[in-house]
Amino acid sequence: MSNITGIWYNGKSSRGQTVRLSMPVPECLQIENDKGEVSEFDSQHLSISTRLGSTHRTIQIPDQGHVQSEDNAIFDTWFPRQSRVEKLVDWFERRKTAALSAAAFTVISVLLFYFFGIPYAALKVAPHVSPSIERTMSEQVMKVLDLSHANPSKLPLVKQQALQTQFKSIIAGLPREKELHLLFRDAPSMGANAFALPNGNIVMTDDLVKLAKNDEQLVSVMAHEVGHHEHRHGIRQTLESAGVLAIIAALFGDISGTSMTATLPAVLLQNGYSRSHEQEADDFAFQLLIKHGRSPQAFADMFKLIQANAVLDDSGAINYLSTHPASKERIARAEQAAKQIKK
Amino acid sequence: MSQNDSPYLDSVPPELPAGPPEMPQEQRHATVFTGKTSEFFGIWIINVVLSILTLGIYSAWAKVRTERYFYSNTKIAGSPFEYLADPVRILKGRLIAYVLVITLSILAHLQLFFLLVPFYLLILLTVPWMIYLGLRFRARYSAWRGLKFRFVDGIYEAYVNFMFKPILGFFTGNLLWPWVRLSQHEYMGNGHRFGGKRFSFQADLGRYYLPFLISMGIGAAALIIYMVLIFASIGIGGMSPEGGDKPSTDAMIWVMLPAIIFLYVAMFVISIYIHTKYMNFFWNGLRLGTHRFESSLRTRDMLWLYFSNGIAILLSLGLAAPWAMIRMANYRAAHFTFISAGNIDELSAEFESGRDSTGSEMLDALDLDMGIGL
Repeated sequence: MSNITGIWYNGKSSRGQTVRLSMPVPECLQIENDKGEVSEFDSQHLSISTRLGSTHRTIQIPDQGHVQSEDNAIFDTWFPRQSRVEKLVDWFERRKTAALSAAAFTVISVLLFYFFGIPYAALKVAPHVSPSIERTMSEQVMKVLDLSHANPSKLPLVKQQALQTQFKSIIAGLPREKELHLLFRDAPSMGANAFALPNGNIVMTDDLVKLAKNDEQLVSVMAHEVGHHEHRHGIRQTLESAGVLAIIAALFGDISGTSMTATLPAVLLQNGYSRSHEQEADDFAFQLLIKHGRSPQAFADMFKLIQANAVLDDSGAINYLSTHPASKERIARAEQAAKQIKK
Repeated sequence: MSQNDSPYLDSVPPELPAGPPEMPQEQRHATVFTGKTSEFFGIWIINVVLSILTLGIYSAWAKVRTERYFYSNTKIAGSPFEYLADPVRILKGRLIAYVLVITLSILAHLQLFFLLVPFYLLILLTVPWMIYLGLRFRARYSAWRGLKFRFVDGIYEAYVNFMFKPILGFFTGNLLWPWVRLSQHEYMGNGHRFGGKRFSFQADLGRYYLPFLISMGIGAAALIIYMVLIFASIGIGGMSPEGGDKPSTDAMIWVMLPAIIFLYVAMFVISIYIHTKYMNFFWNGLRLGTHRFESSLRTRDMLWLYFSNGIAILLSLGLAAPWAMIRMANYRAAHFTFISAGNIDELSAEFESGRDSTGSEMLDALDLDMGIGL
């Protein structure tokens, strides 16, 4: 009959008593101290700590403290009625193959979730986000923009109206046409730029209008921004970054002290989504332009102009670092789309 | 344990000559850490997988298993520590923390500043309270040889030490910072109990100022070097005739980047240095009755540990984290000693004075995982 040693602490003093534990009859634990005194306990009244690696186990005895023992394995035969979940967890924890396949499984599922799960969820949830949220979000951005670095446009009204007419003509018939509005702002610090807000406002800077060689090029940018709105990229990006944060929290939430290393990848990972959004908006723009009998070539030309402009007039480190090779790819795609229309 | 078999042990003490009665011999107890990377890796990876599969719910159980692993493998005088928290309670704290973080990040992303700012301020106002609840939580669920720890200091003192004094320190140009840290250590040190015994903390303010002043010196020097490099890089950028010349832009970046990296390295070194020193001060100033502690962490070791752990975790996409945690625990244990004066078997759960027993516990303990960096 097997017995093990342990130390009994009565919960009132730090003095431990070496004891011998045995279970002659199932459910009946016998504890014998070094003076030979034996106490018996019904195992139903005892609470046993769950198994965790090779760490010690404890037996809590009501009102009489607890017994610690390093003899791990026999506890599971003596006390079979344990939390099933933790028993299963322990079974996995102690197996090398289980641990390694768990590691592989984690990596794969995180990658799948990142590349497909999050974008898909964002796509499905985005249409259900209340328009009032889109509105407050966008109004807030506009307010901050107007307060900090944007002034009313200095473009001649005639020019503005001409562009508005062009804008109206390309958005005619789109499902969310009524939400779309084109705004002009004079914002030198932003350079030649355009962006779409979640409420359908599309903002163009004066610099961009001045940079363009013709209206056709500006219309191509409008089409691109309209694409962002039609695909709800603003809200989707918000949802996606929340998803990335959730993954990171789940992965690293348990490691204390490494939050610094965790936030950096978060920023990089979100950029991955915005690239695919740009591509989606580009494709939308090409189709819209072709539908209205315009050529995507204008988009390629506009993009080249913006690129050349950014490299020329700016000597800052940030612009230098942000000219990524993806731009070339986007120009090539636009030219490809332009060729197709000619055929 | 095996000593109990020795026939002599029991008979020796009574025959000792009756010398001076109250001169307890000091005895050093090294901390022994017995955790193993191979074993902990399995626990850690299963924690990660289940946390992901349950969308974070399991993370509370994961935390308990992790804490239990480190507590149980840390032994003083042959006896392991015990972590007794209930995962469900931890889950409650986590859910609150998740809600707060998600709300904050959504508000920040939507740039709803009129909501974000008051909300953020509100959270800041509760920080001392959360620290207080966190201290209570950790103490209440920590035990050694069946005796529990407790944290009994008040919430008002938490606000004094973790809000009012830091604000005062801020308005005096941070010159009071060592004093602020010292009072926080006093609050934490004096507030803890083990069984019926109270911890007490005493330290010399002058000692707290020394590493602070050294850090300030190093920081100022690093900042001056950084400024010189930045001005030099702007000078290089300005030398080009029309400001658009490419080679000069390149040169500017190559001066500016090392300057920025240098500043970050300097800040890293300073923060680890001061953290290490203060951690030593805390433990070395702490008493448990007649017993005391010794912490001898070294800055250069800590620097190397943090740096190499960080690199390993990054390069392994996080998989080296369990190795890093075990490594850190090993180092900390190797540099932590419990020095007992008198018999450590005589510690008891009985209170030394009546006022220690917390009568009604109005506010429960809560774990929000707030690191206070001791």
